[in-house]
Amino acid sequence: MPELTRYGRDLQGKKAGIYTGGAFKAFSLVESLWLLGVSTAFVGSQTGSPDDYKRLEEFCDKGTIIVDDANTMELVRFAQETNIDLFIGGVKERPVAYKLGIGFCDHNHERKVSLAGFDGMLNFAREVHMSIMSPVWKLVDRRKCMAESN
Amino acid sequence: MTTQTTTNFVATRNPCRMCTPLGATMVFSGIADAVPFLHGSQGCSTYIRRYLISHFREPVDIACSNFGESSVIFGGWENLRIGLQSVIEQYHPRLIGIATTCLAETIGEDIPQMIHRLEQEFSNDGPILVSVSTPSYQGSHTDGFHRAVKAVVEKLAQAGPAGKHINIFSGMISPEDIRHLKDIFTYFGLEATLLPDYSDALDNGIWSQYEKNIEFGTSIESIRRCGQAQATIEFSSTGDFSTSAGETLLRRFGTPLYALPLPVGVSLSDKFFERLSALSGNAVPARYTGQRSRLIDSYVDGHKYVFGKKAVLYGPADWVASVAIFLHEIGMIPVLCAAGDHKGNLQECLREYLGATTELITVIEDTDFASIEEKAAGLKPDIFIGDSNGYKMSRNLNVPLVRLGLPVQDRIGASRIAALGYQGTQQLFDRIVNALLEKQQDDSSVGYTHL
Repeated sequence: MPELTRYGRDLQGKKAGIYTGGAFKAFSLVESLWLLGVSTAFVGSQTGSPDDYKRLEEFCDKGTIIVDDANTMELVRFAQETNIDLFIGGVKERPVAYKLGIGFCDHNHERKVSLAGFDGMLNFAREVHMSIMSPVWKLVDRRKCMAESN
Repeated sequence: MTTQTTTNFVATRNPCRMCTPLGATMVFSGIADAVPFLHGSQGCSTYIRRYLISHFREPVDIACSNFGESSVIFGGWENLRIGLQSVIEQYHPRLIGIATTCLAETIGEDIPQMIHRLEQEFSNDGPILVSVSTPSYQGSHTDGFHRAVKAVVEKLAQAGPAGKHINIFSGMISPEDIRHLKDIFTYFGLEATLLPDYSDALDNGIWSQYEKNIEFGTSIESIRRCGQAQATIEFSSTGDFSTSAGETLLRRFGTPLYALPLPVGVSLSDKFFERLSALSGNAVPARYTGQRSRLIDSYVDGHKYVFGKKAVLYGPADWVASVAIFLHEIGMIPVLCAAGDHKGNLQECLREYLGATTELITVIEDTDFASIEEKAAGLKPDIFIGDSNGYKMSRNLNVPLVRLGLPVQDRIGASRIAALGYQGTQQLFDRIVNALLEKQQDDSSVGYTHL
């Protein structure tokens, strides 16, 4: 917990976007991020049911965009409009997020570092922390990228 | 009761620097039609040749006045005269660069007076004689390098009509970096005198017959025109002007001096490219904005592999400073910055760029490998960055070493190690990330093929 608290201090007020395969992962991710002080600007899944989305809406902060079965272009638009610091998606979204100067974590089945359990939470916190806090983003003019693409 | 233990200085154990005249001979090797010459005993030139040959993997000729017992007692004047004559007969050089050794300095050889006598003796037929005082108990190989550049400029630079060309005193860099700098000037449309330029003399192709190999390097004519340049760029990350050729030109001819840190990383390279843009009046060529953009893209691709990783850097202070600033830029922590030479301001220089991170790092100057290893062991670093002489330490502590600087004599390709500009940084960045990934992969019980 002290390590989580330390990361939480750096991450307070940051925003993330989530897009998963099944909706069940989205629930865990929203909650884990919340524990680190990171809010969720949009959340969605490929295969969620109306029931899942209803529950997600209740579960998330007010104003969170709920997304169903989006394509890359739609996800990029959400990511840019909400100006998120971190995107959590499938591994193939990674290069797109990076190109736009957005931190990225994957939750793919081929992950090398586990996210489950207490250890997993710490691993997740570390990865979110290093993704958001890396100084390399200072060299990427994200707003300039946004202006050019609009 | 508290007990305070202090460690008394015993001796330098495995120095993190090399001989002062080694740097001076590299400078003379990088001047066209010049021959390096050591005033002292033969072992000095043998040692330096041995190091340079292993690093560059090229023939290296360094003449020597070969002191014996009698020259140590009665002085080396005769040896110097005979030695120089022999070099003149065999090499027909236009310039001989004479660097002193510990022995010659200790017995108090008056080289300027001897050169004066020889110049009168040779009248106008003889080569230009440049001397530099380089006892190894004063400074490091990089100090010897800077002193030799200053000595050459002091001897040759002349006043004249102001030109558009610039001078660039890069300090000790690899032949690959020299070639990269020359390309950059060409693309900017700048005529530049890069002193020295050993990119051919110490890194050339196969010969069809034995070559004296002295025709390559910065031309004597272009060094004469240094005093007429529109500006001088000097790479000095710590801003040390005590041995600065640029300062000589500023003082004597009013040539504006821009002291820039060695351009490693995006922010330091930006400073360099912005300066070239201002001096040439041209925008940064698309070739280099492309390299910059791709470099940043790779920083993003690799940011998680390097974030928070701890590095130990060692070598000349100027290099340590620039590499530390670059590592900070990519999210690594240069936990130990160890300079083998002494500038006295490495810590302040780093504070300017690293801000609060400076509190997390240890900075030492004028240090040796035994001290670096002792300090590094407690810091649990993820990587070492420096020359091959740090290999023992890297092996003892089981920490990967990314080779940079001189000497690199346990790998091939020292001449092709790049670190300057966006393109050089790209290579350095890739090597650092890959060394970390290799270690992670090797240490893993699974052996992932995909990281």
